[in-house]
Amino acid sequence: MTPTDDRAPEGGLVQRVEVLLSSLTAVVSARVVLDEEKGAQVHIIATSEMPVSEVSRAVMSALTWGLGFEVPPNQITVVQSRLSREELKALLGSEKADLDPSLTAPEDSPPEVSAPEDSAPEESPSVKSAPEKAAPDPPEPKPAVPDTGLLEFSLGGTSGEPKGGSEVEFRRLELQDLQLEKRPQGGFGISVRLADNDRSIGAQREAAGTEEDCLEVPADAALGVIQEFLRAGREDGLSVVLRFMAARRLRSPQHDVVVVLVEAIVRGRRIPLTGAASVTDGVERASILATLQATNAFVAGTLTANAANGSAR
Amino acid sequence: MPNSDDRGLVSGETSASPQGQSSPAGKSKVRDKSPYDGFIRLVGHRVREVQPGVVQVEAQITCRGRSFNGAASGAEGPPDRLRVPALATLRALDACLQIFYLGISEPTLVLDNVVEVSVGDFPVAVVMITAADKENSTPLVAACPLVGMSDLAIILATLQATTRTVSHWLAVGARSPSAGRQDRPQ
Repeated sequence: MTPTDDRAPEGGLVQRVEVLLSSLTAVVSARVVLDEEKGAQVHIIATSEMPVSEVSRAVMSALTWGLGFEVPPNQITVVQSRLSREELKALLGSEKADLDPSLTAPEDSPPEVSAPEDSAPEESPSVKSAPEKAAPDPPEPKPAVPDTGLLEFSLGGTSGEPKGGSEVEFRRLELQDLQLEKRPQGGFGISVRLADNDRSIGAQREAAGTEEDCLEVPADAALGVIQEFLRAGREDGLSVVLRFMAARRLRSPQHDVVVVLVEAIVRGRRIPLTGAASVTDGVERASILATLQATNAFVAGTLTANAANGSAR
Repeated sequence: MPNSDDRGLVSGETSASPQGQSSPAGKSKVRDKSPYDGFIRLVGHRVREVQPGVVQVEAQITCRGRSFNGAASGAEGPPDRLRVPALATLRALDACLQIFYLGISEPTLVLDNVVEVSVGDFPVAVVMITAADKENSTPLVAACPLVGMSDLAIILATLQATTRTVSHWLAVGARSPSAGRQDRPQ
């Protein structure tokens, strides 16, 4: 049993997962390898702005919460560099900088991999060893990279169990409050508030009150709030743009469903995200819940990463 | 309407732990104690053509350190094609419930439909399921973009729709008065 089958190319999904992971704080590049025997493997190139263990935790969070897909910690390899994101991107070939699987730690040499509990890059004993053969040849036409000497990588993942694993908290946004106010002159006003632990962000919109508005305006309002959460706490300047694309209501004898389509744009790559929710408590609420479902994967990883990053400082 | 009892149910628990790596006993204490250990996650899936025009999908999930398989087969063409991976996933979940649900009432997950619709101009699969226990019947839904072969996407969507409910059942079932019994009707 493997995460996929040779006869069933899942390029679309794999690409979406890679873009999802590359949107996480500190992650410069992500590659998902579906191996017939070893299962799914995730290879990450990251900056050192977060400990390896936190990068690993964010990756697991995104995969678990966002996709319900289990990739064990020992299948996640994080290669961390002291170079900045821009320097790494220049070295690795900008947007197409995918991690060469050869960069990962050889399977028969796990002892060289530092335990994440003490895997602050500067302290890792493996930092000094990996580099020359790990670093890909810089593409010649790329911009000059500051002369920082040898690339210094630390490896994590094989022992990438998040520190204090029993306290791991995967995060996602919750709909804290939804208020609808019908206007005497027609239309309605909607107030949406989403929460992550003790932090909440709200947004308000006015709508003309058409059937499309009931689907689209709540989703758009929620998306604006989600975007705020994604922006907050990041210092790497990476912008994940979430754009509402469309919503549709499906009715059948057993189901009344709102389906929302959102487009995520990460470093120029566009990926579709979808969510669905049953209309049990109003179309507007379903529209928001579908939007949250669509964006869970991005939000879970980023919130976890940002929380970890904040606590690290 | 297909449900988890039709099409020759092929589901069951495997003794191998997730990914076939270490035994549950070999797992770290950290993971054993982790609060998300009861979560249901996908380990993998396999798609194969069992006879001309008939495709079989197997899904393997993990829950509490144990792996469960479900399989379903159906015509390679629509509309069955979209339902097969969802049905395989529900059967894996059913196998999980058979082991871990210790309550009296038998909760069920019934696949109502998997439809392809256009949202905007984009093709999307919508998985519609009814979760029923002795008290409630709840509609569950999830959607996934249809890009290329979408078995994995539909499996993930099916899990996305159901795992919260199944986890709740497992938690409630573990607290029920009959939870201590050793055997249960199959």
